[in-house]
Amino acid sequence: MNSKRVVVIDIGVGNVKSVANILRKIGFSPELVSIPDESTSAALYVLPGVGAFDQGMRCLAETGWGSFLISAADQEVPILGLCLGMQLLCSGSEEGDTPGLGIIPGKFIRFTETLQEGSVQKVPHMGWNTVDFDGPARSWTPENSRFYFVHSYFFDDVNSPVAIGRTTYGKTFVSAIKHGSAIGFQFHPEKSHRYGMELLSTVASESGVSV
Amino acid sequence: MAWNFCRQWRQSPVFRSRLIPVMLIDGTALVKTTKFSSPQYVGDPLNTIRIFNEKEVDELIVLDISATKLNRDPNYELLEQLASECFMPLCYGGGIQNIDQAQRLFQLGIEKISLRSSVLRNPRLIEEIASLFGSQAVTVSIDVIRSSIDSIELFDSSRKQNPEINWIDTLKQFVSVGAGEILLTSVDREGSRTGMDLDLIRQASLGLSVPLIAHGGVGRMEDVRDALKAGADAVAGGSFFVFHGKHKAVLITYPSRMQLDDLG
Repeated sequence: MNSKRVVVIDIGVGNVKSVANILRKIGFSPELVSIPDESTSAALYVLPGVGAFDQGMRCLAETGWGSFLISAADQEVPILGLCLGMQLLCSGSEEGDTPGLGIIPGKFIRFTETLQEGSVQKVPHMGWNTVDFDGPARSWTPENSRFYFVHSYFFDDVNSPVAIGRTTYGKTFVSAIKHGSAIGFQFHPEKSHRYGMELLSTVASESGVSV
Repeated sequence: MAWNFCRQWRQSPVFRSRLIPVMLIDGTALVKTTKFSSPQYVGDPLNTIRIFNEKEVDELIVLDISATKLNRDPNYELLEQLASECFMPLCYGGGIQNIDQAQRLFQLGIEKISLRSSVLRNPRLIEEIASLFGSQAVTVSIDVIRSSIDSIELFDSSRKQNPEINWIDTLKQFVSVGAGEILLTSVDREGSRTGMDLDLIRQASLGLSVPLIAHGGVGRMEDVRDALKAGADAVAGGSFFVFHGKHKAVLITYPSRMQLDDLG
């Protein structure tokens, strides 16, 4: 098995096809894997996800991907979680009863419809927004990048040491995280035109994925 | 200094309302209708999606206008091709009557499905799909027509009748069973480029907890701004993005990033 490959985890809860499409578009050869085995290896595992938290955790447990990812993280293999995938990598969410994988510390809470000033905002946060990246992640995307978001729950600790990017919707929240070899994006780079392509291209290249 | 300030302002984190082209598919052709009839050939859907990609559109809605009428499945083959070229969110509607079709569409790489005719008869379908794939994946499309200046009626285009049900009640019912977003189309304005029905948008957005996409009548950026002010969360259009001038020359266009950022 080519360990320089990028594996897109297909547990039936994600827009797996969209992630594979964009990776191909930027020159990589993603492989979709539903169930990992001893021979599964990769330079980068991408965990997409759309849907409910508990359903996502159940699929991770049933397929064996949950324990696989935990040991991959222990061995510092790069993992990228997108949207629900990011949430599943963390400790838990108000949305579900099942704990997350715990690879990245932090949990998720729901946006409130009522803002402090008494005005209301729609939940989910759906649409294009900017991400203010910190530190080395600043060079991951061009200036003026914007990304597509669709989510109702957000990473609750704006000052967390794992935060590498922040976004404002009613309040400022953490939209990108990194802990060890694991990265999470709350937005959908696979649906964010060239901004998403550049970001994914950087993450894949830095993880050592071969073109 | 002024330039710097302006630049700074543009870079500040800003959540922006979406402007969404609606592509109508009839068979394998891209068409554009007026008041839901007289489809005019516009071009090839795949080419058009490529152009919209280059123009970095916010999102796309693809509606198959003949699937329900001819009682056939969505054209999965065409949709898979479209999805593979689409690097922005893609919503598809047309001919979806059950959860298996919805699942197949999601697997092709489509983010959202739009339900219309089927849910008027079976609102439970919204609940079924939302519970499995999340509300964010379910857009419910409601078409309305003004029967007189101050009377708005629900328009079931597949039956060409106005069912005698209150459109606001129907809209609220759809939201309560899990619609993640409402695509509200003014049949009177569809294809007209004469401005949007702002009174309709005001009525629909009042107390609505999910995003409202207003559709029908957009012809200028001012129309978009007016619709957002009236309470729409996003604006969708057809002719605005595919026709140019009074003779309706086909020209695929989309406003620049700067024009869009000015909308707020």
